[in-house]
Amino acid sequence: MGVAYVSPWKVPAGQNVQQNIEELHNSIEQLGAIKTGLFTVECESYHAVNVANSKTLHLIHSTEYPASRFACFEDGPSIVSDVMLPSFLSKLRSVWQPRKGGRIESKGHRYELGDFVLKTGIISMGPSTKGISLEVEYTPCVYPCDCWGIITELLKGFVGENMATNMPTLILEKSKEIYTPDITMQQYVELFSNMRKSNYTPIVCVK
Amino acid sequence: IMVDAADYQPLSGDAPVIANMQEFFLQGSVLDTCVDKIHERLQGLCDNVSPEAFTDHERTYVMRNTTSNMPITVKACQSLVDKSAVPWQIKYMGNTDVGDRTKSAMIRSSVSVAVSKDPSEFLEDLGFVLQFEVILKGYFYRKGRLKITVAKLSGSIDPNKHEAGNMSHLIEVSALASPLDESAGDEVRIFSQFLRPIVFLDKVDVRRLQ
Repeated sequence: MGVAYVSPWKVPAGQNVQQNIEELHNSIEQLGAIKTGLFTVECESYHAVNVANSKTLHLIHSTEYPASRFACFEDGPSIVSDVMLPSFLSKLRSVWQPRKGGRIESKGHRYELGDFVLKTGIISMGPSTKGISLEVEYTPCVYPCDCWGIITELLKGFVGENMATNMPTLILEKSKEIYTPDITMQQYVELFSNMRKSNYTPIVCVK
Repeated sequence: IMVDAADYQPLSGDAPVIANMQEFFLQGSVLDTCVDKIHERLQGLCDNVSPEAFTDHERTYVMRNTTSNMPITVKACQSLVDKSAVPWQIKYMGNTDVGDRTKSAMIRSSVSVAVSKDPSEFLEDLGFVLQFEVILKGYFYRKGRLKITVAKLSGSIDPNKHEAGNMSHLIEVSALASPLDESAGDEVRIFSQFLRPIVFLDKVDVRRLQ
């Protein structure tokens, strides 16, 4: 467990998600990374019925942390819990209910490259594909401020020199504190929210 | 390299077996003067492990909802004995079903979740309002799936002051089981009878007390 950075992967015009993720896999494998399995990050969003402008509660599960559940409010407190949280929330179903179409997930491959763990996932909402996510985790270090340089350096290796190198606000706020996995999950939530908002032309996933 | 598929569906297919458990329980209280007798008897009756001392800070939150006039009750619990080793817990407490004469024990549904930090802010964002808080200090025994607590309740949350106040201990015998498992209720009742005549544990209809 170290510091992780989650970013969207832009699909160039004229290419579909499937072709693009294969290209991404190729460039990761060319760096010498080894495939070590699959991963899924799932996010289910809840809202309070009968409450005007209700806050949204996100419940996240990642196969990387199979015994934990992550819950966070949009720009609010986040909490890590054990696997009982979904059944706890189902007891509150007279107030808190899953949002329609509020389920979004990123599913894909997990790679290891020395001290790095890379995860490339296809983000999908129901049957429609929204885009690609890329997570880079540097495992030996827990302080973001100390390893941001090496993370961006690795990314430049296959993104190219023109990638943005600013720390995302979520990490920047706590860059001198010990990094915890719930920050990774908040990055996924932020990414998922952006994917929902942006006018991505949904591509029907061919399975 | 062979790649194993992630063969479970988190959030949906992976619900633990204990997801829909009910708590069968009986309660009673004894005067402080009799509490030593209770401890002696429990040590004889329960599994042969030394009783566990606990001091818990328990906050009770409620949320009113529009669809039912019964509020939703949740407890947030923190152990004051070893704050760093034991995580905070949030516990959903269903409405107590006293049942008729044929039922051995009171039943309520219960879901406990261990959480990483003080859940107050999280619960407030969910819409819960703090109702009251208490300190429970006492001992915890077990016998098979039965859980027996003997604890002193104190409304003062200053741990140094809570010796004062009421003069009795609360005793609760409970078991978690599937709602269809009537035998759990019988087990609770039979065990409670062993504590007679020091204490009579019985079903209490809280609604009638109010």
